[in-house]
Amino acid sequence: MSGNVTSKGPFVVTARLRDARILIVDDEPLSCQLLAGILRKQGFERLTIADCGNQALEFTGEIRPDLILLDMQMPDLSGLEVCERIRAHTEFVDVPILIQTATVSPKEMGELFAAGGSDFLSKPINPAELIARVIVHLERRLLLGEMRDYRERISSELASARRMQSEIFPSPIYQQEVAEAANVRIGSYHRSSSEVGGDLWGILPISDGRFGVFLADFTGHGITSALNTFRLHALIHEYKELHGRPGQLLARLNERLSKLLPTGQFATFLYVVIDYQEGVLRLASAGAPPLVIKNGLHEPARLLQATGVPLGIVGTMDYEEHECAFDVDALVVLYSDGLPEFPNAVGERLGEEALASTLDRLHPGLDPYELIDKLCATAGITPGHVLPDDTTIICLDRRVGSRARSCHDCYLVHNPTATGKRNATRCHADDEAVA
Amino acid sequence: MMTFEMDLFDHEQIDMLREALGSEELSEMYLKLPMSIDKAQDTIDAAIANEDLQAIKRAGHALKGVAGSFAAVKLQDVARRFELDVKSVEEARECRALLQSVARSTVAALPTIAT
Repeated sequence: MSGNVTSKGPFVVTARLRDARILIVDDEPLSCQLLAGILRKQGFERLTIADCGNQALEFTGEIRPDLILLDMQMPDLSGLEVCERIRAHTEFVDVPILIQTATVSPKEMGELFAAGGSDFLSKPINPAELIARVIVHLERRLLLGEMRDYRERISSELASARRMQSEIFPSPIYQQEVAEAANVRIGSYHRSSSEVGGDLWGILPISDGRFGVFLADFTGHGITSALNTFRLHALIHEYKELHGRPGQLLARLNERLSKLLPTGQFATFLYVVIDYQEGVLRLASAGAPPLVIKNGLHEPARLLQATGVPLGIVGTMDYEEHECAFDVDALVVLYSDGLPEFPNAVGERLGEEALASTLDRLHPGLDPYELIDKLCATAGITPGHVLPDDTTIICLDRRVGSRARSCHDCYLVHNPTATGKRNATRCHADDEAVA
Repeated sequence: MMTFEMDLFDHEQIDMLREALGSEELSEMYLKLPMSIDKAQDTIDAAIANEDLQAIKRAGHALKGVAGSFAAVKLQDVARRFELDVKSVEEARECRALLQSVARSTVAALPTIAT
């Protein structure tokens, strides 16, 4: 047997249990001695004895026991009073308190538990019962402590991962710079279904009046998907020379990801190169939802579907490039499937066609962030909703080119904790509404 | 008519204590039991003298607890009467002789229990 384990009779007391601080509370010294003697035989050494209720309260604060054995009746305070007072302190809410009682009255037993007692010990003391209950409650406390520590550590690490992931998304300031250079307005929305997600989007600078926008969505969500977004982010930036050639970029990313990803993991990917000087948009898709484009105020929004196998499934794939006009009054919306597939309050999904027709119904004066808000509302997504899937929406708006301004001001208005160069206090939509 | 005479000790309980503590430690504790019994009786006497019924009941409870813990079931039963049954100081005074008698018998039997 290991030296870390004590076994007397049927009970196994591990070193961690033996290290527990146990407070014995009883006004009868010989009864305390009896309890302490039984526990010592099992290897419990960190025992403290209090001979009345007030001393129990004092010692609880001093030694911070891992378990308390409490007599029901004492001259100064009853066991129930002591129990209630201990429980009133948040730091002792989960300390096991075993109350010794000779009562078998259901009413009194109810009061015992209502006062915060974790369990009871029958009197006269039964040594086997005492040891068994002490072990069970100490093990439970240790497990709870471990779970709490684990949860805190994981929460902290997930918060850190979330921050790191948010840093690989285009910052509002960067979006503003690109928007101003291209004379478009850019709005974006991203929410993960858990702390970290499997959606990734980005803006890639390309010379000669062009820039690229990509949106990736890895299978699943959570940590595995999030780690894959970091991999993909690194790969995308590894192939800078292909940022102007959507088909070739996707082929190369697919080749690399299919070697990296285990079976069952893959990503849909949409890459759009915006040539704002030529007024042309080129795209390639790897199984991504179709892009929505609306060229002109009176033209209906349409889905631009490009076919392609998601990245990471088959080692060698070709991805076809598609091209269409990106007129001076064009509006383009990229989105992950979390938007059209979000089940609303009655379980209905918006779908891609309805998403496109929604754009036709929206007022053309809406800025990209307002437009995204409307799309979310139409799909049934509200800020309080827990999303079943990661959801990303990117809106590129060229419709008010002559008055183009970045939505960064609006972003700051709507996200007051964000930092930015401008001191925005008013969304430009407010100005337009007044006008 | 047959009368039922309660044993002074619950030997099954004593065996459990012996198994948990070992004979030596249990014997040491039994040697301290008379002191606890005397102390409880002194408290009861003082409470009777003060005509304090609640103090009598509290002392009865304490004696019941310690007697029960050490398997002195007859003493425990008499102590229980002080805690729960007596309704007046006078009744307690009437039970006092019984308590003294059972306490003496219990203490007298301890040497055989403690070994």
